[in-house]
Amino acid sequence: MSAREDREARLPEAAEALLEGWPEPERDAEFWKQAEARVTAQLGDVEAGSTPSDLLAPPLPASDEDGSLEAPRASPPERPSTPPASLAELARQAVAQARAETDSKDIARESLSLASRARASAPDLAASLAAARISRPPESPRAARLEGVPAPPAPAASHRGVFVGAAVAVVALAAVVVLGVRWHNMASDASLGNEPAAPSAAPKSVPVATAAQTPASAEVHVLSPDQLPEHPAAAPSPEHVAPARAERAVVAEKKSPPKHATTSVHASAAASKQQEPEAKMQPASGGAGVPDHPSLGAVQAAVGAVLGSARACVAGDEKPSSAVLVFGSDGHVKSVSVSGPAAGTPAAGCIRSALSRARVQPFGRSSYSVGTPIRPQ
Amino acid sequence: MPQKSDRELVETAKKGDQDAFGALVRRYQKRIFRLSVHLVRDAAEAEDVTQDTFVRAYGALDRFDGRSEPFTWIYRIAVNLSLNAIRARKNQRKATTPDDPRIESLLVERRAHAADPAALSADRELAMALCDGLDALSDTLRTTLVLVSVDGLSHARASEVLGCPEGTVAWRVHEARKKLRAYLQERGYAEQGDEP
Repeated sequence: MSAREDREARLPEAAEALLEGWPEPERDAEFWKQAEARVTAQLGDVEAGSTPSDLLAPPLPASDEDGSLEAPRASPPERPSTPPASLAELARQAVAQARAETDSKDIARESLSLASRARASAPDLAASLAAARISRPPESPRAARLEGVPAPPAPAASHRGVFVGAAVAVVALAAVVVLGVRWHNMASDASLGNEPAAPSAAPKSVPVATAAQTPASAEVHVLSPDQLPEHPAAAPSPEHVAPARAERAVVAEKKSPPKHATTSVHASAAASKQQEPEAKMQPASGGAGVPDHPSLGAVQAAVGAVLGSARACVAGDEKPSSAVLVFGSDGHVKSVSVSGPAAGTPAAGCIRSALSRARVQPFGRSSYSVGTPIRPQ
Repeated sequence: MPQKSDRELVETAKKGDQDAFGALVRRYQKRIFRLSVHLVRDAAEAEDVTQDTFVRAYGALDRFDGRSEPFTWIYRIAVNLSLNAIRARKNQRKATTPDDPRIESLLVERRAHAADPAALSADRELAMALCDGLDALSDTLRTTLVLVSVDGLSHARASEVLGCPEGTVAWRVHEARKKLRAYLQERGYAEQGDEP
């Protein structure tokens, strides 16, 4: 999403805070206990398979008003992996489409006709083709159809083939353009299910972040405050992501030594982009095909969701502290080390407790470290 | 003792362990209730939807194939039930009132942090305008915005709940926010620097 689009969709600050910090309805513990009891009391009467299937179906099917931010309609659709075999093939496909427009049919027919002329203009080829026709009947409907195309008489001048060849090339280009437009329209009409999932959280810029004190043993990825959602305290779970903000987010990959890293993140961002669709297809419990490390968006979301609680721990401090989270391959936080003013104080335990709630999807490495500053609220 | 994951609880519940399912209910009933409150805009109806959601989920456990997370699967049932409840209404709600359950939860929370009556009053008015703006959206845009912006689901999770591509979720959220912004601007809630 561009900055302008982002601005268009940004609510006034107070409204934004209300929207993203909407609390759960205030009910006392007794209410929830009774609600749970009411549910469990009914479970004994529930028969397996009694739930209608429509309750399990997608609730809001794609509608005409739907669009897609990641795959704008103006962009070309994904092309089939195997290109059409020939110009004649292209033309035949165009003619065969039931919903083809008249223009494209005309162009396709013209293409066939010109292809026949070109074939006829090469005497040797024509002779060999004729011989082949005499020696055997058409092997396929395709060949039969090709033979059914009326061929104009052979040209008198031999150099005419050059002009015809050029005309064929022009018509081929036109046919490709027409088919491209038609494929695009077909793709737009169809469900958006084939569109690549994309990366609302894809990084656009390459800011550089530094961490204060980080363990020297592991590669530590550093999150800068600007990369994280600004209202994490409202997040009830690690899934709480502010995607529009996440778009601005970037993780700067920090190589050793741990202090003042200034490494570009193009490579890691590109790698994460590639891995995100894969991650979407993986079962949450890991196994073969688990990404090597958590994606940028997942790390930002996970840390952003708990950062508000961590910042509350250092409320009143003048200087920021910093923390390094080490995610285990199961996606849980294995350890949190705190440095800066909060280190050695009760606030460090508070920060550890808050950040330990961050979760990402399981990944392949044994661990993945992320550093983040903890600024006082 | 470490907490069991949602998947573990579902697997245990599939074998008939109702306590395991009860743990799932405890874990998600508040969020399901908040989601239902925002969708049906009525506390009593939201309670029914929440309760029904879990009962229906239990009745469909044998069809949970594990391709999605249990909570997104439960969310989907909650959204379907909420939309059914809205469609079943004979008369549609017209405007947000101060006893709207969404406003009530918001103000209870605000009162705990702010003692300034003027600020609370301004908050209430803005919250009511926001609710009216949300109610003016189509079910599609409103549901998607509630899932993403209010409930905090990622686009990926919301797309699992709604059964549509992430790009569609992103587009719906963007459209909903644009419309909401325009609605608020018309009522005088404009950010500094915004064009009137």
